[in-house]
Amino acid sequence: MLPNGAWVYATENSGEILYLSFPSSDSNKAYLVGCAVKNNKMYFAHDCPGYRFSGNCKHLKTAHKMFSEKLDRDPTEKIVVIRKHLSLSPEWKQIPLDRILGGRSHVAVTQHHR
Amino acid sequence: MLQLPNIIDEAFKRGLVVNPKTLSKKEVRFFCPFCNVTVSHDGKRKKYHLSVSQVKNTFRCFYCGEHGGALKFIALLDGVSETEVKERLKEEQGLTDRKNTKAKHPAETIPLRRLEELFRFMGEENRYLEGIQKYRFYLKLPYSEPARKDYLNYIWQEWNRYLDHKRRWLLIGLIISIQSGYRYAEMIEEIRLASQKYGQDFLHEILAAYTNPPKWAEGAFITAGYFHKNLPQPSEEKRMAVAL
Repeated sequence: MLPNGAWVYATENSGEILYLSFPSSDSNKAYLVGCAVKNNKMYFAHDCPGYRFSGNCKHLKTAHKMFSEKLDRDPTEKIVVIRKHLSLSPEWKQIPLDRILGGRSHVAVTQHHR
Repeated sequence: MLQLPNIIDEAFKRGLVVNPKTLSKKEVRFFCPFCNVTVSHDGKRKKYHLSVSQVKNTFRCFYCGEHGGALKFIALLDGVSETEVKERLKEEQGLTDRKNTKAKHPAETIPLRRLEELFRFMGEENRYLEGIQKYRFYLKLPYSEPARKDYLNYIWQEWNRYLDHKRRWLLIGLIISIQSGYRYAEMIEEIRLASQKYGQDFLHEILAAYTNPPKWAEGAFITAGYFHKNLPQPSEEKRMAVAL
């Protein structure tokens, strides 16, 4: 599995919601996962065929792992997933992946999933 | 031809308050009905800010800056659009629009600069001026000529193909900017400029195409991969599929 190029790259203006972009496995498009913390709960927004039909997908798993690291959350706690198709927005700001996880940690993430 | 009404008569009809001293001058002054400022800043003197020109048949307020011609003046005072005022005047003067006016072909609305680009794109790199001469020749033909319609249809088809080409390369630029880790904002600005240049809503189309690609975006991710070494290289089959 990827993400050879998984890019945590954008937040909304206030920085309340983080988005992660994944290339699709046939390299024809990208999938976005959004994450926000509200009322001491982690909310995810995502939609892809894998999630739609089987209920768990690699995008959501990776995003959950990365965001729980980034936001200092317990990775075993319950999350809320909202099935929603996301698309890019011009107001977002890009955050390089290494600035969030430090160094070349995105390589470590790929290795872990491989 | 439509005759515009005298702007000062219209002002009196609507009961604007005039400065009587200026009635014999070129520019007659009124209280401005748009900003309603009638006194000076210290409140001691009356101020007639709206200047109406007898010669030019125009108006301008020196306080709020509202300005224009007779049609706009009536439209603003009556709270209707300028086209409605025009139609009303046409009815009064017994003028009606010519019937059977030919609608313009969409290809006729393409600006000249964009046409130059289009002819270059169509493969006439050094002969784009000839292409424009040809285009002008066909434009002058009568509407009933089938060759004219055929040629314009062809130009319109090529123009849409050119726009798809632009969209595709802007999307590729966006993908590369995202993958390289910075420059997302720069690329958004570039797409915005292109939208202005071509009169299209490129920004929303391209941002939507990133997660939900339409037909013109096919293979954009694979093409972007060639420009970015960190991306996995596509297999030989996929390369052939794109090339074909």
